Amino acid sequence: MGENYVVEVKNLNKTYGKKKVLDDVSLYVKPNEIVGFIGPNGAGKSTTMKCICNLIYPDSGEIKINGYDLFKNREKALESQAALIENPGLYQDMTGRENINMIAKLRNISKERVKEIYEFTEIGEALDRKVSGYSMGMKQRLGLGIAIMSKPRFIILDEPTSGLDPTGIIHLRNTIQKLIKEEDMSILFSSHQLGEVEKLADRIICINKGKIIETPKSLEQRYRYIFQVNDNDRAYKILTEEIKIGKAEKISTDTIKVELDNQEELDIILQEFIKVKIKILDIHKESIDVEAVYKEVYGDE
Amino acid sequence: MEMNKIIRNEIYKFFKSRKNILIIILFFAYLLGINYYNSKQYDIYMRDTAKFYEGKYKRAGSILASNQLMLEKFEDLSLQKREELEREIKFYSGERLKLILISSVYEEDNPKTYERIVSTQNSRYRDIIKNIEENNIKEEFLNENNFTMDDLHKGIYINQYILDNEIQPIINPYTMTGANSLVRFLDGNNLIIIMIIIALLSMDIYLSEVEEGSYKLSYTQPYKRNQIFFGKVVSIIIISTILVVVGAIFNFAMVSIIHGVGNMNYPFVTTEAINKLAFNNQGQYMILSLVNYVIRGFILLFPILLFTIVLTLGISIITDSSGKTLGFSTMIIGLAFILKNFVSRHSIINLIYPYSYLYIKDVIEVNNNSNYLLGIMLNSIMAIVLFVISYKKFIHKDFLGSRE
Repeated sequence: MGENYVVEVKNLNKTYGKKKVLDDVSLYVKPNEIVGFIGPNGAGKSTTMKCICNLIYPDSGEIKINGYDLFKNREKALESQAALIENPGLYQDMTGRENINMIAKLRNISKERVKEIYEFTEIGEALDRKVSGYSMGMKQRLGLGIAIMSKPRFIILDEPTSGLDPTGIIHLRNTIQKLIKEEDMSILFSSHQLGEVEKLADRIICINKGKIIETPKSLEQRYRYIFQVNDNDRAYKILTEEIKIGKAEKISTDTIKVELDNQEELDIILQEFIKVKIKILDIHKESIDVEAVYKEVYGDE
Repeated sequence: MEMNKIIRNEIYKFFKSRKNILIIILFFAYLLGINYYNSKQYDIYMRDTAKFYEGKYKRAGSILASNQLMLEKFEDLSLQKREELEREIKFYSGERLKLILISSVYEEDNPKTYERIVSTQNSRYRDIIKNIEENNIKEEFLNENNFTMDDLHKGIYINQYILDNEIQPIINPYTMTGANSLVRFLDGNNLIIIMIIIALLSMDIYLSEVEEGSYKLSYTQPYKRNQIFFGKVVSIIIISTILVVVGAIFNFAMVSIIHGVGNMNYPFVTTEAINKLAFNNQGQYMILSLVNYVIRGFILLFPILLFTIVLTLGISIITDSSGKTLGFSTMIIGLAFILKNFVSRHSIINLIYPYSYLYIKDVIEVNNNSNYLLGIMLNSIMAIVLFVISYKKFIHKDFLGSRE
């Protein structure tokens, strides 16, 4: 597995009849990374994700999850993974609690963990009502709770915001961000809500007509930070000549833009600045207009 | 992951489904209903059978009168023809008496007189055989009365056994006793309904998850696809077998409590061919007790049940459609009813069509050219073949989803 990836997909191909739905698709997800997967309807996002969960068999290609080949060692590979594909797959005639307990029994989950999941879902007394009576938001929270119950290293979320109201979307976003921090997970998610992709994703992969599109530079590696410091020149010198981390660019007399490879490099920079007593007046992630980039990549599609 | 955990999980999911619970309730309601229907049919059968024999009596009377008239009116008939007519007159005179006696016993419906039917039928069958062998009556007589020489010999054999052993005869198939309820449970038309119910439950164990989308939860868990498949198959086999057995016991208990158990050793006739894999059913006649009949019946039913389960599961995996699965399954099972009523007993279809063996009475009593052991083998082999096809299809299936 290259560079310690949680998920590595290589050269996936899938054809239905005469239509090639996946054409040499390759992607990867690193630990603690949120990757946004975007593309128009029918581009191949769901097909790719279903291949990763082994709901669909590709005609050729390789998928490794946590180092295990999905087709040679399905059980080990899927142990580290959970998925919410389109609408949550729940048993409608069972209560929320019964859905959780059923999977908990199958996966040998401890009672303490199950209780944590009851609380995580924030469904309250409705846990004892049949799922068929739940709102979409409740189903989404229940589905996500069941997904993380086994503490997977990697979660697939296919259109997680579909059907949710604004409150539901905000709640889901906060939950995902919390999961990355507290549960040490990686996430691959697809969404048509480009605003949500912008807010959540560390990196974005574009797909169209079954092919991965070379990601525009503006969408690559989203660890771009704007530092406002009290000693711009000194800070620039440290970044470029001393610790030599990332690509630094002076934007103004007191701001530097730094492009990093990962979260750890940011920690190193912050520690170094503290050590040499450079005051950080402000630091924020550079936001990218995902919508503009989407139009650039896909045009009118 | 342990298989028994997966099987228990499938059984748990099955009983959590409202649809399945409703089907099971309907199954037991059907059993209650059919017993109520049978109890009403008892009197109707007695009445109709009395009229049937009365009709035959009148027809025999017509033939008799016609022959007598010919003898009187046509003086220039040849000697041979005269002798033929006289022999026919003699036969039909005896036949009339026997027919009206049988009719009157059905009409009276006094169990103390049932033995008269048995002894009269025996005498009648012997008479028919003798007169056919002596060419006094033509073989068309058998077709008109819807029996064969073998039926007559078999009838004599079983009737004589009943008379020799002083067994209270059962002259009405709707006789309400616990023992007879087991025989009626194994009646072909009843089993067709039961197989359709089993088909409904079998398709649900796969299709319900596809239709509501819950397959996305189950099939992404860390166990092998073959474990998922085996789990479903084994669980539905367990559920269906228990349902059929409990249904039979429920039926038996209900009828026994109300009407009594009856004679569990009541005799049925078969031939030695029941113990052989044979394409003809030659051999000595032999008697089976009711208990033996019922046990053999359930032994034959089990591979048919397995065949039904894998057939329905297979169609559901291939089509992903409740409508198509139910349609195809019902058509294949229901075809047995059509074949029974429109195809000759001697047709090869009875030998090779799996659901022909649902008419267990015909198989065990060797009333057609099916073979008991072949029925078990045929249904078992077809179940295995369909199992392998369904397995391969499921293992490599792409779940494209979004039907919910």
